[in-house]
Amino acid sequence: MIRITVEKKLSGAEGPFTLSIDLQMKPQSILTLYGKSGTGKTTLLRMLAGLVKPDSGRIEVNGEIWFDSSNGVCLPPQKRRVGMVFQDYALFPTMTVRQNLLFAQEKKEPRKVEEMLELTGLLALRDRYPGTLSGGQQQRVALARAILRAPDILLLDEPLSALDQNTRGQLQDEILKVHQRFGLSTLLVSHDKQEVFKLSDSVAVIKNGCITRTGTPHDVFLDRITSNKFSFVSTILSIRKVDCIYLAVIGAGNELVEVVLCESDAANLKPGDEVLVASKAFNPIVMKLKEATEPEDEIPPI
Amino acid sequence: MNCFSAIITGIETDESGSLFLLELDASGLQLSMLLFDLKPAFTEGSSVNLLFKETGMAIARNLTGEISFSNQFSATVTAIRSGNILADITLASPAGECTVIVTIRSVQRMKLDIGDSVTVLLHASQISLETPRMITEN
Repeated sequence: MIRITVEKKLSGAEGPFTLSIDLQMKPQSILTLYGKSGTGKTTLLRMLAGLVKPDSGRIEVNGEIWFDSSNGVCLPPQKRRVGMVFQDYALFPTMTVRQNLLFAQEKKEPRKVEEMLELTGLLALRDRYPGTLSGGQQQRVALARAILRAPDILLLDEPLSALDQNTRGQLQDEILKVHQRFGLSTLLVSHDKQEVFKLSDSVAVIKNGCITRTGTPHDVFLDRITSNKFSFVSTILSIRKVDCIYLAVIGAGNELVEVVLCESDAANLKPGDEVLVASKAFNPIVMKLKEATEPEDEIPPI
Repeated sequence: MNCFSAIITGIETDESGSLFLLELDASGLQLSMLLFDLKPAFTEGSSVNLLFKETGMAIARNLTGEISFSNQFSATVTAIRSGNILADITLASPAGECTVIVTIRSVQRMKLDIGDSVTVLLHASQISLETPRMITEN
């Protein structure tokens, strides 16, 4: 269990405020901190990493005390087993991918580096320099480097917000994969609701330095309980009138779906709105897909 | 999306306890719906909203004989908005206003007009349930 109770006075854009956090995190889970910028999310991550000292409080990670103001305990950053991934990758530009990973190891174990390169699909890029890689590839290196230290806690500070939608989706899958593979405890900062729903076991909403709500993404973001079996949170991309009904285009993962809306729905919705799309278990038609090698001699129903 | 307020008046379940048939009272209309996974918020006496899609229902005139729709109730046509293919028909029912989308051909065949009485037909499997959650700040 990771227990964080910390306080620190901060100066924000709208004047000074107190970051006052009381948070518990189950081991091997992904907890997302959700909130506007300037509410103290990154500061909290930096406190965990030992880069910022709280005014008071206690940080306990799997039974080990990292910080305790009541008896002067404050482990230096190098004594805390933390992996961090930032939005801007923070790779060493003059080192190759492999050297970047090796550098992160306290005890140099090239074999482990090779294993990690293979696991994260970076083997082919091992001798490239960060400047020659795409944003997604660089962030994959940063993630591999963070995990290589076998951290007690993995801190992800909006790691995907600079990437395009497609790359973001792939890296979300990657994060889930390594999180499960290594049984990591991950603290993610994100302001993307789709990302929160896809990745988090639980979410804590931070507002003005305080946690205002915690729970599963459904608990926190949907103020109602629905009986529907299939649902996903997404954004309306467009709405157009067709005859006397409306068709809304909604993003669903990397796919787009079209959904029928009626006059009363359309009156309340506009492109850009975040929505819950839900369907009863009775409705979907399920069809077996043909083997990819077979020629398509039938047109599937639409 | 159509929405009726209702109260759960009865819950029946299958042997495995995963499929439920709920009896509902929507301002005097007796309705029923099918549901998997009965959330703790859904118990007898709970106030709920019944949600059903305009395209997932039917209307009939002078209905006779037996029909498998679990839910049948009377309503009056209060407005018809016609496109070229489809019509959006507003209905007044004891449980409130609702809308149904049917083809123009059906409107013509049924000779539907404002003020007409119709029977609304709604499958038990096409109703969704929601209840406003008590928001707890912690």
